Amino acid sequence: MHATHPLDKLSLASRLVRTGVGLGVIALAVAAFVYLKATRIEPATTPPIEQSLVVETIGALPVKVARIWTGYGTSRAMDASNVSAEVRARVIDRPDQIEAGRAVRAGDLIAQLEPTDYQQAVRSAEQRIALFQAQLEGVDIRRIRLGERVELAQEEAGIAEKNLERARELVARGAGNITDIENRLTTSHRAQRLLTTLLQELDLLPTERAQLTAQVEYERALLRVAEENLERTTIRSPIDGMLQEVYVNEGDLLTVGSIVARVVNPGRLEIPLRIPMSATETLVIGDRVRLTSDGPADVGWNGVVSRIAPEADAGTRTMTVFVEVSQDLDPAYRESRPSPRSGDPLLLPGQFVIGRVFTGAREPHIIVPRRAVDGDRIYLARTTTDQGNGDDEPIERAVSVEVRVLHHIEGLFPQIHPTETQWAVISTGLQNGDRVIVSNIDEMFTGLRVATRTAKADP
Amino acid sequence: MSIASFGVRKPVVANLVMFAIIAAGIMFGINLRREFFPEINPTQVLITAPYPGAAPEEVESSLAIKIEDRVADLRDVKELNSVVSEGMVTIRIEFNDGIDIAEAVADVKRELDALQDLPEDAERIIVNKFEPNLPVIVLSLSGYGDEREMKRAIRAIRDDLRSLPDMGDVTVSGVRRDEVIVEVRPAALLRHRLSLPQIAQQIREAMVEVPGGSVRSATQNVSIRTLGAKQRAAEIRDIVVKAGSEGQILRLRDIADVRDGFVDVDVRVRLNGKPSVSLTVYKVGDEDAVEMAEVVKAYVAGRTGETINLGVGERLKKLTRKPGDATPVSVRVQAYELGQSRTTPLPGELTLTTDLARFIVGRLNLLMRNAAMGGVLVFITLLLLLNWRVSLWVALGLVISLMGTLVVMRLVGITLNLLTMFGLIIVIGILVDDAIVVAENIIARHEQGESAHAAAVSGTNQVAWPVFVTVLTTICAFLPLTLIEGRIGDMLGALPIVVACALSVSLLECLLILPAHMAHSLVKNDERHDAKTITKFEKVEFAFEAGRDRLFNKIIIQGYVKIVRASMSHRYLSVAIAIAAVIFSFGLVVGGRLPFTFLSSADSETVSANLRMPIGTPIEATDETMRRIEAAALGLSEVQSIWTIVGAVSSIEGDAVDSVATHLGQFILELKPVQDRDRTSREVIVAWRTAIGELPGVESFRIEELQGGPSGPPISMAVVGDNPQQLMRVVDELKELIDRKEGVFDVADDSDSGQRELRLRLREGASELGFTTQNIAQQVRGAVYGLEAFTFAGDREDVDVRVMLPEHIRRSIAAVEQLYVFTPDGRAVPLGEVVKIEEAEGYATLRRLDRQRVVTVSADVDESAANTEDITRSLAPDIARILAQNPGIRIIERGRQKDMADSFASLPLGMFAAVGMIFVVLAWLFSSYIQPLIVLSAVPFATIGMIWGHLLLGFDLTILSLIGFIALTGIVVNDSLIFMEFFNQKRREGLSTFDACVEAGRARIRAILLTTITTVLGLLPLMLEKSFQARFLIPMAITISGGLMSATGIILIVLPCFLMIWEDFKWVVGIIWRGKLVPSPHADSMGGAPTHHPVAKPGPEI
Repeated sequence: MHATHPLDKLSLASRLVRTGVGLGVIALAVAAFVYLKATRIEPATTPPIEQSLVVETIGALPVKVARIWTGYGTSRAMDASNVSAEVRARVIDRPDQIEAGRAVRAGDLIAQLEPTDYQQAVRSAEQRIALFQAQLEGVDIRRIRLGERVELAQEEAGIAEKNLERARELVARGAGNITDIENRLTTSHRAQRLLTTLLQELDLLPTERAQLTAQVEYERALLRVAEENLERTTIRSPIDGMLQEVYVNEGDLLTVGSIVARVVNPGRLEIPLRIPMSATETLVIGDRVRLTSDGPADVGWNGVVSRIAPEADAGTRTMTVFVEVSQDLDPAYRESRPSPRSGDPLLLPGQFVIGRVFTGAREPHIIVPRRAVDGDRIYLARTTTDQGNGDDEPIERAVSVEVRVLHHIEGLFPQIHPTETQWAVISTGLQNGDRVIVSNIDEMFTGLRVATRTAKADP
Repeated sequence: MSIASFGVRKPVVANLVMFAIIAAGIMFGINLRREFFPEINPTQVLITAPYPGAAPEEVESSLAIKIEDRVADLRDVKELNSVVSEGMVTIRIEFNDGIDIAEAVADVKRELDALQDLPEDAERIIVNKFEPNLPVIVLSLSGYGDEREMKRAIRAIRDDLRSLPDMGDVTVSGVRRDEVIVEVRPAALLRHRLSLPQIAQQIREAMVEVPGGSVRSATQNVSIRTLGAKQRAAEIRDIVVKAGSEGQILRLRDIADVRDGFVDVDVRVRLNGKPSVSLTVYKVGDEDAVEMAEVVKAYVAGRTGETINLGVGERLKKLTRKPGDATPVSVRVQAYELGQSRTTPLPGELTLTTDLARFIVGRLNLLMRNAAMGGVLVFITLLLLLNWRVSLWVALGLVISLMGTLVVMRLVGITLNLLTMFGLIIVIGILVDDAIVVAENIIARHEQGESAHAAAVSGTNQVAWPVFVTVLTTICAFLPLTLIEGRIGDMLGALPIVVACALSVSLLECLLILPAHMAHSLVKNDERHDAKTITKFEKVEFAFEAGRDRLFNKIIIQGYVKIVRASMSHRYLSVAIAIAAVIFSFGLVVGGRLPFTFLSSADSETVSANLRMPIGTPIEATDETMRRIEAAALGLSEVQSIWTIVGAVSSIEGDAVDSVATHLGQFILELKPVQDRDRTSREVIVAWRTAIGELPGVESFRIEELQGGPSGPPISMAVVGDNPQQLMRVVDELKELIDRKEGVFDVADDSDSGQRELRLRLREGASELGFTTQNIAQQVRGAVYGLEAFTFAGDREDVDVRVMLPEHIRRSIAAVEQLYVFTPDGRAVPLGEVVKIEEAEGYATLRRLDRQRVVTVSADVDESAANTEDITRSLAPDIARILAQNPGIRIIERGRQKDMADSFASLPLGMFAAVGMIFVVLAWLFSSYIQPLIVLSAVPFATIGMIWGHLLLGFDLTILSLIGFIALTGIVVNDSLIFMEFFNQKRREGLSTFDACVEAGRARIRAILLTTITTVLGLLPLMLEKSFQARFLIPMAITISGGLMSATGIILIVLPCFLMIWEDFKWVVGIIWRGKLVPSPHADSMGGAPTHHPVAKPGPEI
């Protein structure tokens, strides 16, 4: 057994060496540890490499675009007629082709009424005229004869006067007697009395004639009425157009004023269109209107604003514009249902329509997709050369410009973007040819580096 | 009577137990439920609160915040996660682990019931537990057939599948809900002065059926009911919407087009470019995912006229069933026959995709192959290093233990999955350790002269406690894995249970069954030895054993003794070298030479890609871009199928809420199996990106490989705050910061601001006409979204009767601006005249985390160029600066970082728990405080092998490596425990520390090396596995193997040094305490021959 620790047996040098080696080993390990830690490859932080955001752009292009106002109204024919009976009579004939929906020309027979009564009336009137004409001729004959008798009576009265005078002279000369004078005076008076009677009779003849003439005229008037009534028994279409409705049938007894049929001309229609009253600012007579009915959306008619009501309706916040629609009808329409030359269905009077009024298309404006507008700003892609980086290669950056949006429209403008349908019309802020960024707007800011791709139609 | 003596005395019982375990193991093992990952108990509650038509900001203020405030203070709430979208808020409440989810749901419901001031139009709040459903297989019907036909066909298939047992949840997707569409002509509205709400009201009143009570006469009761219009479009058309005083009637058909249609949802689904509807079979309960997939495949085979091959079990069943019994022999056959019976032609092509069973079977087969190879290697090792009879019995013990484990797994309800299978592989090498110890000790005692039976009993009893303790320490080391938090922890939860089961069964086997077998074997052996004749085989055997023992006794043990003597003589230097090795090894990690990655990535067979266009992008534009990407993918030869969803993004793992928006899109690519392609999934992705080229207008396009473990973007950080402007500033700054890092790409955030909206504000004077905001809103909503006039129960779905305007108006902003609205008395007024229309930007979706707004920044990392964890670590100082500059803002790690942080946070606790428990067990065994510490001192040295193992095999250190290290502590101490036990024995026999160490090493080197070699060889096939399927598990295997190897070396060489140093320490303390020099404890042995040297024996000593 050793009394001392075995380490005591070791020389100091040996102990030092052992300690040194031990510590050295650990020190080496620590050094290696420190070295490894110090030389650790940290994740490289690259200088902020500017990535280009790939965006879609369009070229700003002015186009004539209209502001659209939507309204509604009911069309009405500008040429239309209610054909009514003017005489009281029974319908004796209604031509087969006279049916609602058929086209008629002006003068086409619509219905024939019973004419006998009116023919009788004509004949009666004619006879009465002949009667009075004969009486009138009698008066003329009497006037001639009376004239002759007046002349005779005048001569007799003259002779009697002269005889009286001679008697008086005779008496005065005494050559006669008073009786002669008295006899001759009586004769003279008698001649005077006859003359006066004849003259009176003659004077009355014009009155009688006038009476008879008036009577003839009256009877002639009655004849004309009878003739017209007779003519009225033949009911004809007053205008070219379509029979909207035929209300009578053979055998019907018509009274004056009974509506026989309605004829309308669909070639010219007018629609009082109610549109938002904000449209006042831009609306003018002559603005184009596209009308669609309560049916398939692709069927429509074109019209123009012909009149504008001066007063708006406060109760509906609308104003009324009158839209005139001319429909070019097919000349061969008599043979079939009337149709326009274009082949589209006719806009019919009474039809309820939605109208889109296109206003303000006179000046070209730049339009951009609505999604490109951020508040009142639009981002443009501009080519620039960054200074100071030693790289003069041109790059593109986003630039924000302030714009004024006039209004929004809907439509396809394939020359600008192949599929976009919602557009903003820009009045100021953009130039022709500006490259407008239309995608990734929510990520956009001025100075952002972008790589532009022009929107193209899908092949 | 000990267990061993019972086993030896009653070998029949022991054998019966063995046969019972094996039979039960085979039976239960075959029927053991297979799945991908272990089931995770739900800890989340989902609240869905609809508020139809409300903008996200309105939903947030009037609903989301109120609900959040109500539930935030509930017990055990860990996190509140809200997604506020148009007309709805979804709040996910995450509770702490271990919560009773049913109770949590009840608590949440109770709190919400107490909510008072909710908006009038808000609908009923729904509370459910959030259970991520695992999609097992997807069956798609693709083609250009009529949508209604496709829907009918896929629903018929769904009904068929639902009629089969154990099919989980079968969900149809890609089909739209039925709807009766009442499309009113706008001109008719104006013409008849009708508003959409009026029409909706008329329809509602016409369709409703009202019970009118019953007339109770003296003789009978007669019920009275007012019948509404039937839910058929034809009858709805005849509903009178307006009647005049003169009898004029306006029917719905006069003003509207009424038809049976589908809900106007902008989602398009395609499979390989063709429109597709699909049904997903989800596993929701105890179903076997593999069986479910097989049933679906069989149904499809029957439907498409293909044949199926019957399995062995099915053939047997078919053969043994009664004659005339036509019942199907299995659910699979039933499904096949059901498919065959359906003769209606399908309007498209049936395709099976996302076959989870393929992965499960593939991975389980892979692991089983590795396990089998490991078992064979272990057996060969035993054969080489032990007596072949002993080897056989030990190997049989391994089989019994594994079978017993399967039985216990079945009884406890543990499934066969990737992690439990991995657990079994880990324990293969460990399971034989106790048997080796027991068997060798029995042989040793028999060779010392004891009878076979006595040796079997005494040999077992002698080492029973140490063996029990080694098993206990191993279990103690694995148990803390249940403390690991995060998704990794959730997955690893099953591992300790499997290990504990296996080791417990193994312990039972080696204490009860093995002694019986050994006794029997030794008796036979003795009889053989007693026989005069020796066979040729025995000659070879004896020669081999003599040579092996010579190798051990003359070379290995002698060499070891020399080394250990030298090292003990230079114990401080030896310890210094060992410590230096640890320091240097750590230096490799700290210095980044061995990178740390959260989870290793590898090749993948499923690739998911999410596209995000600018918010508000119409579905057509998104679809156009998607088609470009789709065409590029279809051009890749490696792509087996591509599933395209336009307008929605869903969680492929079923663990998140789907997002539906027209600017979103998703692809799910299934690549050909790894063996059928030349390029890796990463190379395929690169090729895909190249083929796609530039994507103008795209906000982000993120491709992700779906692998075995938790998925998600490598970098994910949530910026939380109350001030939206400040929040976005920080988000931008953070994005720029991340973007600067080399190797980072696709930096994006999930902020959904920028949604264009038209804001309608009532003009002054509008009220003169009788308009109110609600009135206008109703009419505009009707025009744009439609009004639900009536809802009735359709074919397993609610069908709405929706009143709306034609599509060309609904889809046009200009047309909406030009709308006419109606005053209460029926006058039509231009919308623009009564409201001010402004364009503005709002939020499409708002996200909130713990009652604050949150925006998550995510980024991808090119793992070949950079290390994610290095990048996130390097971001820390800048993030700290940003936070200092922006008070009120928080930046929280999410996704992978959160998982890592959770796991890291619990690692020390796990380690402490493992070491603590092991210390207690060892202290109890050794009745000492110091010796357990000396035993445990080997543990830190295991890091050397762990680190170098990763370096040599070319793997990064992962979180599983670190978790594996906890488990390693239990295995490492087994070796040192065996050493210490013998050391103590020798000390008790009177040997000096030095000699006791030498003798302990000499006696134990064989056992220690053998247990180490078996453990390492058990894991070796898995470590060398090249297939991607279980690659993420390999680092854990490397840790255990490498660590064990280095620890073994340390235990054999350095542990004696520690024991010596401890003696030195006690000696020095003694000198100081007594104040005088006392004899050295090593005085007799240092540098000289041992005073007592046991006689070398031909066999190994225990």
